Amino acid sequence: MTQAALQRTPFHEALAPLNKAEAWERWQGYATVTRFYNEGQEYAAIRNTASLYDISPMLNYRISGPDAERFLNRLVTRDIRRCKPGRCFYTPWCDGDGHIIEDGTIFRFAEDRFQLNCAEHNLTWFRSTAQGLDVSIEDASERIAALSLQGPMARTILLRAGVQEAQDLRYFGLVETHIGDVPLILTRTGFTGDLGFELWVEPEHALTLWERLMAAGGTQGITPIGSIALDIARIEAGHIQVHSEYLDARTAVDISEKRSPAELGLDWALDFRKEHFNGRRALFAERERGGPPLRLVGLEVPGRRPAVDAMLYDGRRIVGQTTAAVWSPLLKRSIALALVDAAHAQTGTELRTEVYYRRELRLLRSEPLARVVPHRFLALERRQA
Amino acid sequence: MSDTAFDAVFVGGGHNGLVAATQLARKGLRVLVLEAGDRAGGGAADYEIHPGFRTPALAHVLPAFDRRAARGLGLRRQGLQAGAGDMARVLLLPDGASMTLGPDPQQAASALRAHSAADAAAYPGFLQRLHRHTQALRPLLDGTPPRLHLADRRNLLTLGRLGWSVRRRGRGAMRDLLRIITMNVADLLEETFESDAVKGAFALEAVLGTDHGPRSPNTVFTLLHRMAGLQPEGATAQAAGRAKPLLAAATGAGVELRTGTRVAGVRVEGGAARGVTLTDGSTIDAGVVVSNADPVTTFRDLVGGDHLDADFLAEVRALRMRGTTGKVNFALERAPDLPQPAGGGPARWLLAPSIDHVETAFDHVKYGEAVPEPALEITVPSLTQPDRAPAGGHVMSVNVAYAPYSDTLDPGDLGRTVTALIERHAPGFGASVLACDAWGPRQIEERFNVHGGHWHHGDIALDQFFMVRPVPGCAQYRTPVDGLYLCGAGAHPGGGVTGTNGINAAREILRDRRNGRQAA
Repeated sequence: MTQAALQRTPFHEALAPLNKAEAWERWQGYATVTRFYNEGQEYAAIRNTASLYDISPMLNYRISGPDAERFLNRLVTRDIRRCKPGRCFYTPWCDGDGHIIEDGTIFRFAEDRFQLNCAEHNLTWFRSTAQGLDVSIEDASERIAALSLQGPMARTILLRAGVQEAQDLRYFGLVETHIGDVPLILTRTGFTGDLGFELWVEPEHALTLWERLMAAGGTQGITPIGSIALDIARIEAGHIQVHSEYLDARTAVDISEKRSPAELGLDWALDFRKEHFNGRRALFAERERGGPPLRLVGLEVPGRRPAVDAMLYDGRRIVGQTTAAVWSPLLKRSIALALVDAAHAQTGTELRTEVYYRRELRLLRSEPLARVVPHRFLALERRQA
Repeated sequence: MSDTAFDAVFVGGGHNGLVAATQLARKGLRVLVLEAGDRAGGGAADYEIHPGFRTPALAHVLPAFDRRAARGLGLRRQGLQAGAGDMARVLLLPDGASMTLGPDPQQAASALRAHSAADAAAYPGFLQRLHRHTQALRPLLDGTPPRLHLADRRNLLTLGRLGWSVRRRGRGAMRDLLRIITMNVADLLEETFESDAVKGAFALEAVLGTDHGPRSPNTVFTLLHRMAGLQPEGATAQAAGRAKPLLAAATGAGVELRTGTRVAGVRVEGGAARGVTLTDGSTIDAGVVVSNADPVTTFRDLVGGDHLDADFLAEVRALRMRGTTGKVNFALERAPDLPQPAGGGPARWLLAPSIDHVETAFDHVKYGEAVPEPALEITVPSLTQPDRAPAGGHVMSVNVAYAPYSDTLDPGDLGRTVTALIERHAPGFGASVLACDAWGPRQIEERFNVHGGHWHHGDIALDQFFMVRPVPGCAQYRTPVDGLYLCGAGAHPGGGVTGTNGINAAREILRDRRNGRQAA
């Protein structure tokens, strides 16, 4: 028997029987579910009940030691000192030219103990940044299994499962607790723009965690979801994603394909009040110049077709392109994330959008006038409440 | 305690630091030079090896001093004379014989004829060829390197000057330069000469002070780099205590010098240098900090990772700056009985009887081993400067290719190896030794505060030169930290006591001040 090309996550045994569509995809060398049966139904669970998504393939780095805070402040663009123990923190990090390498979340367990979560391998870059510091950085990805429980019912289900801390855990809060006798790290984080939690356990407890949650879901049910449903939700929420809105600066060959955080709507995450961090000089100079040439915007596109891989025109000139596009079931309109020239990034600007589609086998083109809007399409109160 | 009286503070008072400091002081800046050692002058300084015997600490054959530096600082008045004439090379041959290659190519050719008619014929042409190429590369060697920022006219101009300088010497010369510049020197010598002695001598010239063997790539470039300083009309001068006139010029210009003062760090606030912190904990404020230290010491140790991008610092750490050259100084009770140069005059004795001799020596150092038969460059400074030693006595200075950078090898062994080698060509030499100081790169590192103990503060090679020296992004004496500058050998154009780095750095600092780039 040949070995499977992709590794299996600690939840695989639970996922495989449910995956009626047999739709798997590669994520960091792991097999993860594209859709279980119907992405529309899975998406509906995110917004209406509760959804469960396996995020074990994410990279998790444990960072600890006397210089852990100092290291992180060299690395990331925000000031980690503003993240107190028991809190989570979203931040990008850049190379020396101010180009984004990745974005991710940092959990602060204690003054000198952190966990950083992201999608790409970063260990060499972290170690390089930590030169001369008394800090331990280890890739703990294989020792962490995680599920993302998202949707308006998420809190209720956790309470039903006996995780009382879910009641008062604030947005971006973090607590070390138990689910039954299983040690659990619970964070109020997620990628859907909805009320939600992420649950982190040791891999040997993965299936127990799954069963406890599913049991607590009861008849209202938890719907396991695949990546398609998640992508719809994250586009609605306006979350950027590596390989979609930007490339890791270390892997982009063409320098014009490297993005600065300000191009991705992350100006707010550049903290020039703190001293040096990787890329600070370049980013400061960029701000002094009046900002980067491109901006991330949202687009509302007339019609029902998602403007996937569409060029954006001002008259006959190309001024941008879409990075992700989808029909938003919640907003009931076609939306897209796009990178456009700064001059055309004003809300209300109308851009001609070239959308190609097929009718039977014939390739057709439509040219709707899309409207520029803020890239966060959605602001659900329950997300932070 | 904070001292606020200075516009510019120098970390290290080597010759380049002194040149730059003097230049800034002459333009009206209040300048302080901090030197960790007990005397300024760095590699160009003298020291007393034995009571009454003064020898150059490191550099014993000095190339022509940068004319702009000499003129700009009024050094001639201070006794730094240009043009002491070239030195003859006396090649020490295995059988105890010798061959003199005098400064005049025609005379050298006639001396060569006794060994090889073909080499005698080839010799003047070869020198001329090297000369033509070093002249073509002058714009590369002298000025501030450009940045690849072509919107800036000055950068384009520099690149254009270099291109024109190479091209205007004719298509054939340009083609030849482009062919040989990345070659290894052994191949070039094999196709030019037939006698081992001549090939060995040029092989040593090409690699001395670098981490290359004669068969390492781009050693033709390192030969051109060295020859540029040793050109006949370049007026090679034996080390006349070059530090002394520099020191006099600095003091005369109002530079304040504090020796025995070690800098612990460069203070950086808001991305700009604000001064330095000393090892005793005190601080000195200055809007301009100029580092004469090597790039690794400067960035990794003095500035540190809290103020520099990780990728920049990784490039600095990756700099090749492993020293491979040893230095042995002797105090002698009588003149060594070395073969005298035919025709007299000052001389360098080269013990490098063949390319293989040098390459074999390199093989040892490549693996960090002691070198049983190193190649040597020997000078006896007291022959031309009798006041260096009491009557009858002499000082001798030897560059050793190679000596490994090592914590464990005993530098005393290096001294004994070199003494025995010289004894073969100067009978009775060992018995005449009053004192012997032998330093491997590890000892040079410690004594002169140079990371790796490398002559050039970073190896000379095409990938560590010109606009990428020391690393891409800080090649114009500026650094990522506003107000922090490099003026030492780690900057363009590398080592050799020329003052070029210092004078270029001073010019860039003054240019920034005029343009208001200096931090408040």
